Amino acid sequence: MSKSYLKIKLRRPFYGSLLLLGIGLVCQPALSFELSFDVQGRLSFETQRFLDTGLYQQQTEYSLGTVFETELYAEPEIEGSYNWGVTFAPFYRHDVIDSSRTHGDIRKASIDWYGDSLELGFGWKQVFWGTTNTQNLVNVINPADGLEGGAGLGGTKLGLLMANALFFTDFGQVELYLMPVFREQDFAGEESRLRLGFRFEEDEARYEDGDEDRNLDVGIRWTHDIGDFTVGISYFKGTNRQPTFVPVFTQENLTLEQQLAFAQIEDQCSADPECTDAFVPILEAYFEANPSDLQAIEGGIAVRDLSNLALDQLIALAPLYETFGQAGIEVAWLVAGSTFTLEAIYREKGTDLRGNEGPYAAAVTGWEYGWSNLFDSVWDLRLIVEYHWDERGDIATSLFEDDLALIYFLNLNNLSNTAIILALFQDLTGGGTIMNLGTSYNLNSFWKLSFNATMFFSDEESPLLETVLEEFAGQDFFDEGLSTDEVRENLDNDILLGDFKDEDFIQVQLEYFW
Amino acid sequence: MKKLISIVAAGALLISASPYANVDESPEARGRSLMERLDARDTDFDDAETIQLMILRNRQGAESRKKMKTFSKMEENGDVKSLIIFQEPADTKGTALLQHGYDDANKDDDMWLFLPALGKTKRISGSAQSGSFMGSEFSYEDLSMQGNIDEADYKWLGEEVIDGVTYDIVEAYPHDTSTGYSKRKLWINEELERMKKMEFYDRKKTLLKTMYLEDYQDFGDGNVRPMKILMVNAQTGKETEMLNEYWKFDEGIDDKMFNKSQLKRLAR
Repeated sequence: MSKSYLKIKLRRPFYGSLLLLGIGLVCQPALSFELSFDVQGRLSFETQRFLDTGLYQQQTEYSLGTVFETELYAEPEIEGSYNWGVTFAPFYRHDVIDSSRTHGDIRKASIDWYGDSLELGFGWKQVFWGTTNTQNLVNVINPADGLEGGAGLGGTKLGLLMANALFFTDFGQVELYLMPVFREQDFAGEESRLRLGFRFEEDEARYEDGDEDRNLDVGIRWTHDIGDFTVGISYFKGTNRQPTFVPVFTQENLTLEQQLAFAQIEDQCSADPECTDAFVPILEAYFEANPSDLQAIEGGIAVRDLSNLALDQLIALAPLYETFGQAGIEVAWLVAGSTFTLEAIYREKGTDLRGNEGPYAAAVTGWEYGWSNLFDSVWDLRLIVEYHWDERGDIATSLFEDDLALIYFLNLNNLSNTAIILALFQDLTGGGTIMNLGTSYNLNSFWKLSFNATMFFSDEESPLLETVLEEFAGQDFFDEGLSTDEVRENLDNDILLGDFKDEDFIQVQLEYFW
Repeated sequence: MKKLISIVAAGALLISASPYANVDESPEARGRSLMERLDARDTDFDDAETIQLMILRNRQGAESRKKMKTFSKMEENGDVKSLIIFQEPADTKGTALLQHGYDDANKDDDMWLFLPALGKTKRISGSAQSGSFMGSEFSYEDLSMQGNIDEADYKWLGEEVIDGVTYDIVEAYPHDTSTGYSKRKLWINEELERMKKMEFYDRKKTLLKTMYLEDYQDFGDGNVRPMKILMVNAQTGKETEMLNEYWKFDEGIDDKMFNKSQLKRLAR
């Protein structure tokens, strides 16, 4: 690296020698070094207002939060060259209404070494793989931050401990990642909106691999620009970043007697990890203790009330972290102003919503184009059209199995850099629609104001939990017994969206950047 | 296609190798020769670095600021590489645009955009030339106007005396249909070897914008640059002032600065 390059990196030089003056006086020769230093970040004040009352009693109608995140980056000069970089990026959200959204994370805390054709790194990092815009199927290195919006579309990710190596060759770039410790996803709490009726039992997380979260995960990717094409091939072997879910019965909210009964049943069926038929005696015990609830069932009281009373307290979803291999390809083709993109994966093993295990393929492909000077103005419009496909159809664990995404991005190119975005996700077979309309303004060089409205449209008449309960209500489940399989048999991803149809919300965000 | 970020990288500057033109030249030949010498001189550096502040004003006089740092490097084969690191507004901080411009007129530029929020390096299409650069009155093509000399025909219109200084007026008629302009008109001070202003005419042949180049400074080795460029839109009344904080030339910028795999590191 040449001398001038080093100078260029000195965006914000300061002199460590001053800091180390005391040491320098003691140690001879005096220590002195220079540091290239950069800091970026934002403070965001945001509120969400939900237009309808939540399906579940505990849910709030708005959130009011503050997000702080920053990234500090330094390159110390060591023996005359800048070959080392240190990154530290903390994140913190505090929500005064929905306390389950309050959380912090170390997004990045890493040290990197830069060589001419090789880079090595270690620490908590974030890695992006992918080329499409509305979903990144190949982007599997970091787990999603389940408490931050947009995670399902590859948005905010958790930091993850890893060692990595990057090789730069004339035939492309090769990335290698070793991840010794897995991080479980966090789930929205009972107060939170935009959740399924079922509670998530994070404590009941199951791993397919015996090493649980200490399994060594491996990722490797090759990318290269070949003419107008950019191609990538990746392979990942390890723990599923987006868990599938196993319905479980939980003891929380039960009386002491019921918990004792539960423990006995658990003991009896300990060979069966899901302990499926345990539900009946638990329910019997529950109704024995709460006869009015039983009368409510027999008297045909609204199922929603019942769900608040009983069943949603008993059935929960436990995350199941499978171990699998996934091969992915990425292609971007730039031609005549258009960009065509494709991401496709083949996963050696996956569990669908009904609990069937097996290999499957999924893909996203799309087209992106921009128009400048719209209607003789300075407006720019970008259009992204992407199609999502999942071999498993509507029992895929993803909402997008046969869906079309349309994104319109309009930039007015005015002083406040006004941007308007309209995003539509249309399920072509199930009929559900997700719509997002947003706009943002730069108030000055540091402050930015954004408004966002998100709406869910679904033909499903009742939410998932009610659907499941209705299924149960028609049965004499005291005699026939009830297992979690019956929950699963009624699942498809259209029902999942049905749970969101009363979750339309407006978000206002004021951000300060540095 | 060499779409050199010329105001950024080379400056809209004329240094004539033969300052006194042949009076027998046809208007077309004289126009072309002026532009050829400009083109040759534009590329007379190895590398350059600058910080630019853009002040955008609307008709009412309200302002907003954009700031960026730019590195450029001329390759021996005539290709140009440039890296723009955005600094202001602060929400664009950490965003970087890398451009490889090719001397071969048939080859499109390669461009990559680094988006720090995702950590994504996105290869983008370089064809949206006539769009506004960061909301300013400069379009992408304005920033690369002195690109390939063969991309337009030229005609010398005559001389004009402004404030006692004589300027040659040259018109340029682009071949490329993707440009937003039907013609450009340049005022060139041949003696002082500088461009004073340039007018841009839209597709309907109406005056669209005028660019004024001011406050020329000499950085040695033939590197003379305007420190202030004002672009005034005649149709909307909006204007953009581009101020260079400094210029550095031939500092020996490492090739690694222009490697797409380094964008994440360089943008910080």
